[in-house]
Amino acid sequence: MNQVSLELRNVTKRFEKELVLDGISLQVEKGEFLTLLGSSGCGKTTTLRIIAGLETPDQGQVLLNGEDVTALPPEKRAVNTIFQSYALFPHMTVEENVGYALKLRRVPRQEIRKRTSEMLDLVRLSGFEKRKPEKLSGGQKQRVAIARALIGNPGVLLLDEPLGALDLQLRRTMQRELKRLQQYLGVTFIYVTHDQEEAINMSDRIAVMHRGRLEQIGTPDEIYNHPRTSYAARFVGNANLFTGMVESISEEGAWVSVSGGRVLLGCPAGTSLQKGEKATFAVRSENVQVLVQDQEGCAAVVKEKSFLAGQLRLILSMPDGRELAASRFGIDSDFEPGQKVKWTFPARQGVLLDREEQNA
Amino acid sequence: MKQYRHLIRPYLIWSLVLVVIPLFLIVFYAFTEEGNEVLTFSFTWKNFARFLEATYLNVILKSFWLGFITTAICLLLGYPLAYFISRFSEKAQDTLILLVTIPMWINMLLRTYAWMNLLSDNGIINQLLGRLNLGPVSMMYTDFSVLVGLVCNFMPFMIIPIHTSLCKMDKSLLEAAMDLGANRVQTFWKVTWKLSMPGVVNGVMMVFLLAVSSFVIPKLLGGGQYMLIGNLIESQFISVGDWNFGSAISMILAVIILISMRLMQKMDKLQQEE
Repeated sequence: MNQVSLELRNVTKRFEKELVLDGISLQVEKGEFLTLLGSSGCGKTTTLRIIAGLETPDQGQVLLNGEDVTALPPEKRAVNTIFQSYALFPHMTVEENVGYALKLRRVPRQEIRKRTSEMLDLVRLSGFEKRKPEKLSGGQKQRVAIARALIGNPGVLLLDEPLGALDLQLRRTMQRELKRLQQYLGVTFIYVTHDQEEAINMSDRIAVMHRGRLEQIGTPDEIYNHPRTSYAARFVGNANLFTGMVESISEEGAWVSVSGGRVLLGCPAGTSLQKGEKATFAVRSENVQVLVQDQEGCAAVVKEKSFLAGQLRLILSMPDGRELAASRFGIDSDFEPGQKVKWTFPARQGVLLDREEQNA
Repeated sequence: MKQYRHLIRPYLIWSLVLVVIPLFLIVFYAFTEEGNEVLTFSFTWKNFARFLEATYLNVILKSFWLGFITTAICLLLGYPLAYFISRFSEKAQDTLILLVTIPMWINMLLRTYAWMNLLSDNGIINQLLGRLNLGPVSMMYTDFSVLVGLVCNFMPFMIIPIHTSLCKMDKSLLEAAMDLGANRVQTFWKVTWKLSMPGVVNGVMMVFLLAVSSFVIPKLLGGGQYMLIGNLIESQFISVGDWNFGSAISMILAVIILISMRLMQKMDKLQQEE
């Protein structure tokens, strides 16, 4: 592993009596782009604030470049934050906002001006030096906030849903922009979002958080293709989740009974799946194959059919009333709502979830 | 909304009769000779010239000085109070602001009489001091008693606008300042103080205006010989009966206050742009 830029050790935090963070431990490499992904209230923003020093953990440590900074106030940490509301100082111009960190460090005026203009150039905002924040658009404010946070060469940049207030078009542009800056400057980014697309597009690694715990941490590909928990599977890419009884174990894998039939699950080596046990597993909609009635598979009825972003999407209703989604590219009229069908999936595309041995 | 516009008419007539016409009358009286009829008036600068006598100039200087001191004390005490109130939870803030404004529900005269009782030579404070063998201290009819009365009466007018501007401030700005390396003192002066300037300017203007033109409090707490510009105007109208001179002083006071308010706003703007 490369040099560790940031480390959290068993960070725990309570507000009043509510447990907000429950023993968060993670390591972030220098220059890595890590996303904390989760729905609101999962503790991701609190984690960020603890790293920034704006909150104090009840237990655990925060280490920056191997140094324990848990007790340091925010102004003493080599960490800068981009706030959700941008928090630009309304009484200062763009130039003064960006140069503020340097002014506090008593950097000579000439150099502040030089570095400010370099920074504004980098975020493509040259010529806006003398404007007040109120005269800027959302995207421009965002760029000022980025320049202001990066000018002091922080070791770690914290971003708290920075693109949340922007429209979709602008958000896409800013995603690329942020990624470009991060690679150019080699700064470690800790990025908080609830948007799985954003996380997958930008991150080196994603940490899925749920109820104050880290559900899973891994590359976008690992999280998407090999989720470990049902929460991660559902939150990233809306996988179909099933729970069923293991009927038999063979060399190919495990046969699990589900509503309307039984499916074959390919088990990774080392899985201690037992006959008669309940198994939870996920299948992505693009891996579900819908077949005509007389083929082999589990029975279901087509409930809905829609076409979205180049994908044909079928919602199937299983005999027990639960639904599952199947999607594929292209459009055809093989299946219509109300039609009885069979469905199945390639054995290794079924991912076992919530197993003890995986979480160890 | 448009169809309700005619409802404003009674108020327009009301303010025309009670505000605009009296203002014209004051201007009229200020520039005319004593004792003439409305139809046979004669124009004069005499009333304004008379104001330049040392006695009257002293009165206006003293008034402005007292107004200045009152405003300064209100700001020094009111700002920290407003600041601390703004740091409580929203519900607690409502209660605390209510506590600040409750004295205003009681008639100002009653409050001033209460201070007379507290500060007089055999009032409660002096009785306590006497028990501690610190002897009676004469507090009534001094600058001190007048200041106490003015400060206590006008404090809410300082606290409320400052509190409002502090509450409106985005708290993440303070976090941003600290995040960028500002310590608490720097964060306060560079962010909190700067952003609360509109409230400070409003509070200062209100308190100054009220303090400079007050006449009941100085009269009661300062005694009969305590002459401020408000008392001077009052005496010209009520006891001396020289309405022309009284009007001239009122005009001068109004003009000086207008000028100083403009200056305050200019200064505020300059500071914002700094």
